[in-house]
Amino acid sequence: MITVIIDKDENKRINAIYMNGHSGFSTSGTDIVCAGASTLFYTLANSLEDICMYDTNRTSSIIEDDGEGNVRASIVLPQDSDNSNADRAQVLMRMAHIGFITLASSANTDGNRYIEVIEGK
Amino acid sequence: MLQMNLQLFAHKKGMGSTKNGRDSESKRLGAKKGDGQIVIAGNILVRQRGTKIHPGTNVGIGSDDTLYSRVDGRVKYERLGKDKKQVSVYPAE
Repeated sequence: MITVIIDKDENKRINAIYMNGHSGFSTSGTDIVCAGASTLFYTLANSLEDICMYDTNRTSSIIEDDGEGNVRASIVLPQDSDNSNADRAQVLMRMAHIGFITLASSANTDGNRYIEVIEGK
Repeated sequence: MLQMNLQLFAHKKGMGSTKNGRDSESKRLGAKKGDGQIVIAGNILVRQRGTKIHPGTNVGIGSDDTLYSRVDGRVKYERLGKDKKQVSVYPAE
């Protein structure tokens, strides 16, 4: 099961999105749940670079095997004094958050849970 | 721009894949990382219902009371007041 953590600050703005684990739906090459999650992750990282000029090397991190056989991927927003740019980044993060929720509502059927979204309080 | 790996979160061939997706390990409640263990940001530390263990320094809490690390560092379980516990993560020196 992929766990997606939406980390928020005290103002409820999204700081970071952390992703852990395998979906378990199927093996590589045929895992449609994983494809959905991967697409959301890479699109978010590349959109932050294209729209907000946040270099993907600074914002994103991918660990294909953390030693326990788990994939770990994260996107952490940098501090940004340009408020309008920071607001654009929030829109992109929020869109990805909604995308993960939408993916989970579609993929998690018949009691199976391939992806879960944990929203920080 | 990152080059997409469309199967980033898929089990590689030959690795056991739970066809039914019930990943019991990750849903089982309790501590997932022990005291002194090194973690990275985003690691889940504790799965719980209600806050038996409270979030300490550099630890976030999810809407389902899951505790997770916000930084890379070392896990520390600490007392909180007279009879409560919290978990913190301190950047490794």
